[in-house]
Amino acid sequence: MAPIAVGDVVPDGTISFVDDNDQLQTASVHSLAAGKKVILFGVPGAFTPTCSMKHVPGFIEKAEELKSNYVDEIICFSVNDPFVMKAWGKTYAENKHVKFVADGSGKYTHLLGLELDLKDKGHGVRSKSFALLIDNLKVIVAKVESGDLVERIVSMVPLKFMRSVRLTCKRWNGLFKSRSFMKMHIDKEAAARELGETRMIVMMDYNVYLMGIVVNENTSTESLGKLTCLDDSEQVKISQVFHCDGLLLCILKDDDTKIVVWNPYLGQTRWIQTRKYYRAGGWKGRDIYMYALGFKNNSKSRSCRSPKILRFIDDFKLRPENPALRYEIYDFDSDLWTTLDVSPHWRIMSQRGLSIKGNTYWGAVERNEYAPISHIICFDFTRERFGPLLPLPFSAWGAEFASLSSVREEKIAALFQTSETFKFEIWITTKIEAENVSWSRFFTMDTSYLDSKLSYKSFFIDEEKKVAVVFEKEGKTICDLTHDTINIIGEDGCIMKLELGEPADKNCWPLVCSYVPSVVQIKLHKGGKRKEQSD
Amino acid sequence: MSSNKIVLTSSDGESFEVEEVVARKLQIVGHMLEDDCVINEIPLQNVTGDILSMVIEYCKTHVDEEESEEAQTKLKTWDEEFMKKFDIKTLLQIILAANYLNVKGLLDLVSQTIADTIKDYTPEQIREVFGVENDYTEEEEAEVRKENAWAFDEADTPKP
Repeated sequence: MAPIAVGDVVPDGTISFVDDNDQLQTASVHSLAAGKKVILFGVPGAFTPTCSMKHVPGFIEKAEELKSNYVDEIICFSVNDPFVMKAWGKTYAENKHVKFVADGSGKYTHLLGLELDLKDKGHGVRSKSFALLIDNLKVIVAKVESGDLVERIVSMVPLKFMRSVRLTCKRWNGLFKSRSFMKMHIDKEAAARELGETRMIVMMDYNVYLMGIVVNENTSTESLGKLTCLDDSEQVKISQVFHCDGLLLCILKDDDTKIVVWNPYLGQTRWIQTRKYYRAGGWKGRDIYMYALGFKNNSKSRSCRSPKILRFIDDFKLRPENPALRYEIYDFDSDLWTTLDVSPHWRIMSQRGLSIKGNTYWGAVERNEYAPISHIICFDFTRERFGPLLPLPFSAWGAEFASLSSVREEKIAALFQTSETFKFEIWITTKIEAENVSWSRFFTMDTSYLDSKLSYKSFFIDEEKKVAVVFEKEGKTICDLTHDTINIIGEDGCIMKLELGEPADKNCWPLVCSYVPSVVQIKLHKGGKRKEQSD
Repeated sequence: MSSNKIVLTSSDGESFEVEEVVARKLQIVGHMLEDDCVINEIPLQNVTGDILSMVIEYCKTHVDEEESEEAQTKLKTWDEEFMKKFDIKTLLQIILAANYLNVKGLLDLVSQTIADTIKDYTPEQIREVFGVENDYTEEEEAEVRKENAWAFDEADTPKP
């Protein structure tokens, strides 16, 4: 319901009150107010400090004056039960004119469009503070609490400055989680995207950046920010970053006891402790895990979906006779890691997976085959298992010749470069499910201009402009790759090259992944620090 | 009809004679006029003269909102300059007035201006300006801070 405004006729509805003889009475609002001038003022709750101390006494003080001059009836209204309202009214000994009535079910408040959701605070849906002056059922003056104005202002503060706002007080922090607030922000974000800027997460030199890239004749990148710890005590180095539906899973370079999931849009982080894994044979080094971030896909609302993390070690390639095999999944609801029983009939070849629609995909081959990569495989986060090998439209010898990226979080783009001629192909899925895939060709480019293969490609495509934006390293020789660069490649060849600079650590490859802001709330652990989990 | 003059009176008794088209930008007045009451003088109880004069200045400027891009740009520039005149305290009074008088364009404009102003404030400053009390315990505050530990910092830009 739109909130009631000046000029509207007040809706009819039933309210209840306890009369002087302690009898419960009900009345229709129209019967009370027809032909009269009535002030109807509402408050979120009887006996609540603000309402009791500020709102109500003001009306009681002025009631005499109001009644003698202009107004026939003054009604105080709240979503409470009528007995509470009566008891509350009695606490104002000086009151003669203000009637205390109840809208026990909140139905009438709903008709007025003045609900106030206080579920987060342990109440139900109440009414906002408001005052209406009604003349023969028509609203002549409507004052709804300035809380509205606060919500309005707060929703216009850019999200990245939300920290101060949220720290102001609990109510302001609560606004940040309200649905209307989220909607306002998401609408704004969508409007910005219309302008043709693609948001990307870029990792360079163990730092994570948010970048806006506009692809056109004058392709430009604009840094929208660098990952920074607001508590200046310690900055982190990130070695891997994964995106799924607005959430980023970040793996720290120097600490494998914890990982972080971050929603940069909402400014929420959740630190997750990892389990220590004692390998048979007394292996002491740091285990290199593969990670994937996904969602269980059964809940209705996107913003309530609960994320999950898969991580695994499978070193079949190194030690085919006795591979370390460990698959585990972390559930955000239970805050627990669970070991999965997986007997792979495949080998994952991609260095990193790609998550779309809550599931993660990698390039893969049959487990025992020495063969080019000609398949992808999906981890289905809803069923917590891997699907069958799905065909790729090409075969690539080695992961450096094949890479995956997402197209608007709906489709997968696969880039393939032949190792002999450097010819370049990009395919897009026309259908992608855990157990089913089909592809169509996006474009093929003859690489007359390319004198070498592109190294360690991380890329995304712009479907409309028909270009691929490829992040790679370049250098004087293939053995000495020093510079991070971006190539923008169309059917006719390389349209443009942008230098990203020279990273301090040559081993850190530039990485790009798509990013779409979302309001997926990361549930936080309740209570204190939990025990370290071991199995 | 449109040449009618209306007198708007503030809570502190200041009167402003304006064209009816300007007065109608205040939706609260618009509704009163539609009620067929023949009123020439409208008392506005919740707004003081100095604030009302600002609101009227806004309404006069926005009285005929032309569609053309040029006119829109001009208005936008005017809005920006107009907002620069006020400190945060005045802005908060204007927003209350815009809300009460129901002037949508002004309400949006002032909301955005306030939002842009408070984004650089500390929580203490925000509390002071809005008269809000800190109801966090130390633990709860630490919790919010922790949840909000990371951000993309614009100031720190990468090389390209």
